[in-house]
Amino acid sequence: MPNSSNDIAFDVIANRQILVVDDVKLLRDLITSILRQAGFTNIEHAENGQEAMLKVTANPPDIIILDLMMPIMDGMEVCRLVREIEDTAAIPIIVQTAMHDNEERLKAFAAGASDLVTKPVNALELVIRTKLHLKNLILTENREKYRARVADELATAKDVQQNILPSPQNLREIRAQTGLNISSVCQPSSELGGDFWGANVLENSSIGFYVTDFSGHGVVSALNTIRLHTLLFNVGEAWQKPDQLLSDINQNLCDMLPTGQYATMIIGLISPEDNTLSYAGAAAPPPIYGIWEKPEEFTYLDTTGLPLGVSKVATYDLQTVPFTENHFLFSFSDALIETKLNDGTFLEGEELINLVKNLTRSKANSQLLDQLIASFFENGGNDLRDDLTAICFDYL
Amino acid sequence: MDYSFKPDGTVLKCVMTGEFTFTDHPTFRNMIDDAVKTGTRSIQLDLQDVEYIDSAGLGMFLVANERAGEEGWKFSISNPREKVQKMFTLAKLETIVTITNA
Repeated sequence: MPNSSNDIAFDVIANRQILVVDDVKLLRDLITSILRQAGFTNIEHAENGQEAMLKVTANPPDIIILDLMMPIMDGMEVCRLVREIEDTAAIPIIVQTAMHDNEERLKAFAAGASDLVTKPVNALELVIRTKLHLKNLILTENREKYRARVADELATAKDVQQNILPSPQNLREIRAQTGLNISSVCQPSSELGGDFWGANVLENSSIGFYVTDFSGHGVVSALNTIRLHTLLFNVGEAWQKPDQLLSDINQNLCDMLPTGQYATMIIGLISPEDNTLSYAGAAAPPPIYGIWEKPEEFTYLDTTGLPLGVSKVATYDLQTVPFTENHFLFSFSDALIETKLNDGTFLEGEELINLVKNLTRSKANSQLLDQLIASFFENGGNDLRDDLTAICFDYL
Repeated sequence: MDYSFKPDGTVLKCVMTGEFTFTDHPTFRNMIDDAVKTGTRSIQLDLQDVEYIDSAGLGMFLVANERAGEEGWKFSISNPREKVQKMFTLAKLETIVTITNA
């Protein structure tokens, strides 16, 4: 992509439409002949401001060369109108003014002129300025095309990323096979992010799951999520040992990632048969865990651990807690606790536990996740800097 | 994020202020470059006035720490606020980087 107007060849601009507006036929013809001699091929005319505006709105030109003093509608008015209409606001306008009339020159700029040429017209100056503005127009168009293409590709990438998340169908199957209910919310931020999660049913009807978040934002994090997803794909019964699986992933990520890029993660194993939850954490936001009927015992699970990809000597401990039909586990990405709410506070620590208590009131609540996220958004959480993922595991 | 240098004996303190996030990457790199250019053997990031650090910020500390190891200077962090300290504790950062409260 050319970076400067000097890089743009003349033939790219030769047939761009130039609208010459002047009430004196002799001058219109003179300007036209200068431009034709310079190689421009697409020149239109208007005899006054009104005719110019009709042409501009019907078929916007690429540049306007405009006289100021004209009957019916003058050049200043044309400048103002062209700038007011969204579709024409960016059209370069070169105004012809007398060199000595400083006040008029300033007024022309104030009305919206892009540039001025002296009157009587100097052929060389007119050609140079016309070329310059048309080349700048091409540069702007190229940049806009590039921006649109990148935006489109990022949106597609976002879709790819969303597609690696468990589908509602996956979750229904898990429930049918194991009785475990998994509800989830994934609210992408404007950018690509590094959040994702997954769950698998194992041979003994246990459920292995993970919730992870890559450091940083944007394309690098998004690409890393795909790497990590590949590491976790089809690991089969390795889910049975969350601590070992976490260690293995850490080893792999240490080899793959440059210093400074890492992932936080929790890997868990829920066994409906043993009524247990085993898990290992690598600096993932601690999830909330409890028995619906015992709000006083709601607590954060310990997910302290070196993030994945930082050190090969890191070890991860396995912890096991009861997980019966009366338990729930609420896991989330850091966007939930790191987003500043309207009142300047964060939904973290005791605040978050208290919100869960208020939404459950010592009773099981199958809508906990939706209600909690709704409350978060109502209180200003919609200004997300990062993707928000929240997942609730229960037997409701 | 803004910063200023405050020499303290043989240690060069980099006093950081504000939020330290993804977008501060170039600023942080310049800060470390400038600090290293002074010839000091010990660079300490003072986080007394840092309200928030995101995951990318933590990653930049790890990069600086690795660079210190390669170039043979000492890297440390001091005075993290409660919220930042919580993040360090969760990630066991103290097993990798010296963190002091002085």
